[in-house]
Amino acid sequence: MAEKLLTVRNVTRQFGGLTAVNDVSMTIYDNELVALIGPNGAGKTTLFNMLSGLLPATSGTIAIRHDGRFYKVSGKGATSVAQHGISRTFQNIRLFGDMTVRENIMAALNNQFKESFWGTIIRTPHYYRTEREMNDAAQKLIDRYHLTAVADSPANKLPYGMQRRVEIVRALATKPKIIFLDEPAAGMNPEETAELTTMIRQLRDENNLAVLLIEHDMSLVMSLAERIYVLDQGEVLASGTPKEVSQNSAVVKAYLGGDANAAG
Amino acid sequence: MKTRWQTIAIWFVCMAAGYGIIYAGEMTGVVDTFIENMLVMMGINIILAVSLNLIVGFSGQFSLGHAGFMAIGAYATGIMTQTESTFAGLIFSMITGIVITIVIALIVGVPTLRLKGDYLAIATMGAAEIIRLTANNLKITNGPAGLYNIPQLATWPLVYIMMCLTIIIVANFVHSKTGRAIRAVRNDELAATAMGINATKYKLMAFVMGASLAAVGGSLYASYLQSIAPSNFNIMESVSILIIVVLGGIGSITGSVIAAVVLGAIDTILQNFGSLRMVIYAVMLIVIMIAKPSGLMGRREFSIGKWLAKRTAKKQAAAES
Repeated sequence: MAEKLLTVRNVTRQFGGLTAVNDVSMTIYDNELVALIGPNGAGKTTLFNMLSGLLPATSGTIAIRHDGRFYKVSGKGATSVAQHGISRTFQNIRLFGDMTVRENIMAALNNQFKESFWGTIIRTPHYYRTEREMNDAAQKLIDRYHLTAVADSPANKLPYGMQRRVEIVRALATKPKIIFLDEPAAGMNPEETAELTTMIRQLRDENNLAVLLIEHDMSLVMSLAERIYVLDQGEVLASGTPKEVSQNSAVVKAYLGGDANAAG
Repeated sequence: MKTRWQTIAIWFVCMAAGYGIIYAGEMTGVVDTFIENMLVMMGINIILAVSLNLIVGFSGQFSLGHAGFMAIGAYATGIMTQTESTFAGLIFSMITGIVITIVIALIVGVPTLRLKGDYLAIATMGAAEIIRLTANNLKITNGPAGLYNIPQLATWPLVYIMMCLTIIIVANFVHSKTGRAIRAVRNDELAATAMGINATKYKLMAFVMGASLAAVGGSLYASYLQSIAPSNFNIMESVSILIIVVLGGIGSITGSVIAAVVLGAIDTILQNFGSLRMVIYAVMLIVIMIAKPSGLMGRREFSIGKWLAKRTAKKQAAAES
């Protein structure tokens, strides 16, 4: 079996008296495609925000393997978490709206390049070289994920489905070892969803990274995920392969309801 | 590579031409003391507006404390050039002003930059008031009466050169890796942090840099006008710099330059109207804002580099067909 990449141990998050995430433990291995499902309000996005460092956990630990050692994510800021190989997209797309697609990607490349303050001001050859290298790196991603046609349009002028793709590529630009996708297929038509499925597989296969996605589209989850965690009322209700999960009676009762047969 | 040098050459020619025109005006007597005064104030306002635009327009932090940082530069020059009234003394006082401003901007910025929108505006306004009240109460700044008989070491060529330098510095800074990170933070701070961009660092960088350029503007102001008082740096001064930025277009350097020139000219012309001046001025502001809500330039920039690139592309297309 592949090596452990992300470990979540007994993570709890409380908002006042409400426990949004309760004692959740999970493990994600290298290069895995894992789905996190659950009804609305199950705590999926709260868990995502803790995993990416945007929200501190009330208790428990989250750690990611970085350069052979485990780095504790819990208690660190999002910037530091991102620098240790975690990247994400958002449920309600959060692109850098008035910047072009290229600039969005180049902004995400920020930590991979060095630039001196004075070099920027007086425009040394080093400045031009850095700019060119960053542009080349962005261009590679643009070409590979078919964004050439929109590369120089402002991000907020793009159609919805395209914005989602751009957001995924932007997340990829930070060179993550694991990427969290928060409802990537939300608001997409079946055709776009099919394209997205291919893209997520391509993403995983070509970049040697693990993917954790929250998704409500069960056909996408069932066809894509290798493992599934089911969250209900802040707790892990079940986990396993798509087949195991869809046959789990507690899951059927809590989430899949009458659609259990159709989804399985 | 070729367009890069062409761009630099064209900008250089433009800046030299501006200098030449004013110089010719001075020689022929078209530019008298009155007009020179107007031009110098325009230049200083461009420095202040472009530097505030870096904070408000590019990094998206609503600061109302620009006059405070301007005051630091002005007082540094006012105090130091009275004992050392040489050009070197002026430059040294300018650097001193910048250093003090950097320290104070860091002290003000670290706690306040976590605030957003209106809250940040109030906090920066408070910081500027503290600076003004300090000048109002210290002996070395001569209290409310302020400093006078400051030697006039800043001449119009110096103001012109500093104005060009400010524009070049800010424009180069904004169009870089750092500038992109700053714009990303303005667009969506949360998403930027999730992409590994250290939002606090970049916000602080823009704030400190904008503040230190304001100090340069203040130094030139004190040295050219030869007298300063704390009341020159009150909240209204911060607001009038902000007006230039908003009118020109938040996030457009070109806009700030145009607005500073237009408002400076309007202000000068209206001096003949006596007390009606402020009424007409205010009405014009309202009319411009109704006609162009996002400012004269919006977020657009005038860019010779892009213009050249477009022209080459057109030529190529024509050659191919």
